Amino acid sequence: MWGEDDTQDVLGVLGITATANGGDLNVVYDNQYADALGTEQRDPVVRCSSADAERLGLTKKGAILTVAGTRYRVRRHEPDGTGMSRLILEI
Amino acid sequence: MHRAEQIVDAVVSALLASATLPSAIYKARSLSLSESDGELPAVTVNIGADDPVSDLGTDNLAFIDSILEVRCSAYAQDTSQAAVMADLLELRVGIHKALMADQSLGLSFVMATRYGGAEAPEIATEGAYLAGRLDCTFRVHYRMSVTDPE
Repeated sequence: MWGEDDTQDVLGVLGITATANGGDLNVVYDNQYADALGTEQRDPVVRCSSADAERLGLTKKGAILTVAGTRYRVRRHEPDGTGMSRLILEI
Repeated sequence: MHRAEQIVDAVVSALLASATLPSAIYKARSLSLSESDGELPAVTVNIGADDPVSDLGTDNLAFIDSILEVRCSAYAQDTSQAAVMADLLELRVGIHKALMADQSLGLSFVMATRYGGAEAPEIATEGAYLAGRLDCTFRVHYRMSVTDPE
């Protein structure tokens, strides 16, 4: 049965290391182009283990996450119910 | 050039001459705006409806009076909704002052430029920054020959 160890194994291969509240976690980072009302944007999102998100306080709006050298605030935490979470980020 | 386009050009010139507005003023801009390219904050100027003052389409056998709607859209990005709103309203102040300072817009055929109100600001949260747009309308009363709108 799929468990947290398996999730961490996958994130260890596909992800990069991010930091939050003094701890590290592996995340899959995406920073694709977005259009907002005709203005060009980046749409930063990370996927991580829901357990890591809970452990490092990233389920709260406004929590700080540093990834790929950029300091973001968590705009929204979206758990998928299977142990993975999507964190919608903002500057 | 149709007088309507001359008016739009005069609006762009008035906005560019303002000391309080950004230099990113665009006529009929359809491309997206990029902060990294120095294109934000920005104001775009677009031509709107042009309605004759008289129901008959003319006020005189020699000339037509018409009211051209000019839409000035303010764009801004910032890190909070309050900051985006403040940026948009600051741009709105600048647009208003620039266009109402000389209500002829420097054109001999323009009788008046009138304040036409503004839409509710739009705020988008799709990206890393919050983005906002505020559309302001001005109505320009002008005159043209029945036979020649240039």
